[in-house]
Amino acid sequence: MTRAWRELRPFVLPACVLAVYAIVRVVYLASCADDGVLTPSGGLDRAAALLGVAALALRIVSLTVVPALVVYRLVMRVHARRASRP
Amino acid sequence: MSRNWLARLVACGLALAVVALGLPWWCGRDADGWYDGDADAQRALAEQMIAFENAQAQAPPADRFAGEWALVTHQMTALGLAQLCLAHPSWRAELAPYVTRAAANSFRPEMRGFGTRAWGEDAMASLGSAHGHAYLAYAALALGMARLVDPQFPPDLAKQHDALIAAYERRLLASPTGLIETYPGEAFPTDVAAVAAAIAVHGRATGVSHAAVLAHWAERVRAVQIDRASGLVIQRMDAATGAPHDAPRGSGTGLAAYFAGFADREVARQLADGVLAHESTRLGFGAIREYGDGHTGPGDVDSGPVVLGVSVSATGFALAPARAFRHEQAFRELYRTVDLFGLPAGGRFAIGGPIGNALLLALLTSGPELAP
Repeated sequence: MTRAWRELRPFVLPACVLAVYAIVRVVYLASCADDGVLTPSGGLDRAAALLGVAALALRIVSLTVVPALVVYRLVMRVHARRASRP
Repeated sequence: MSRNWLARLVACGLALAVVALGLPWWCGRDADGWYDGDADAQRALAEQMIAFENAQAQAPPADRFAGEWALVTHQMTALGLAQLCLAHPSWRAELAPYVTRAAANSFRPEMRGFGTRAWGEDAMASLGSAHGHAYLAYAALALGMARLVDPQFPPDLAKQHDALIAAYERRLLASPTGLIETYPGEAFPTDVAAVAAAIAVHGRATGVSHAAVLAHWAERVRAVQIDRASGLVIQRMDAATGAPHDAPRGSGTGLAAYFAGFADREVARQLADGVLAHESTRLGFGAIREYGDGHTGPGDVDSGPVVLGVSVSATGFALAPARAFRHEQAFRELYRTVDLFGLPAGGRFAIGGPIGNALLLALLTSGPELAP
């Protein structure tokens, strides 16, 4: 295991969440956002609704869990470094 | 406590602090711009709705609620664009034709098909009857705002508008409760606020005085339609007796406060105070509780989903009175919630689609339409 990987590994999961959010958001905006989850004709496109809900859920996770996780792991990383010094 | 546990505690505290400070900041970045009338943000959302109006005609709505949504989408587009014409007179020449187009779309017979089916008669073919047809006031208000800002407003449409307003004025003056029916046996104070708004704006556009009917409506709202304990309007009532058929609710009051602003500032201010008193705040995010104290109930087509007692519609509708009556803190808190769940992108709010964006265009630009 390289040192770089060791340093980056705690942040891979948050980065993956952000990447998935970015992809889902782009797909939703490109394919469904003209109609939204609600449409004036009253129809509910299930695929669009699912994509919209997924984008929304990932947005909330990206804005809450991801920064919290990054800050937590950064602090623990600093602590581990300081603790390992002779 | 070991140093490891202390580090974990510090890490958790910092993580929570970052979220508690960062999340409201991130979601509120555009709040001040909307509150202060940022022209770029307003313009971007307006362009979205102009594109919608320019798009091919929507399929005729299939049922009552689909029809209501279609009508409201065109109506709110017209109101939002008209408010921008009033706020930015230099935009008027460009936007006014779209105000008229959106208003005319809201007035198309197929847009009111849901009401025609409910009553068994077309509202415009039964203007002499005592039936309320209050749902059509949404289109009548849009037409009035179009007449106010568009010097090229079509004369044939103006004649129909005059006739509809005359019918509403006669029906409202004849009502001892200040209510007229939307559907048979059902009167909604919010829809009647739209009727009053339509009458008031017609007066501003044509110079005809409607002072007597507006004074009657305002007095009856205070005496009959507002729940004294909560300050919210009762969602649904009996038009003849004023008996409540539903609870006092935030969604109806928020929209009624917006509509009332066109007709009577003091009634609107009272309703704004009522709805904003039901704001719940967490971490700088605001939302409006749907039901007044002592009342509970599920979400419905008016409120949208009710989660933990707060409703989607009431929260969105409350943006208008918060901005119009300069409740800056409440506006900022409510906006953060709309931003978080609205998925803003490219000048629009992607989750709501046309109806959500039309509503937000009207609600986020509320203020210039207030009655003198």
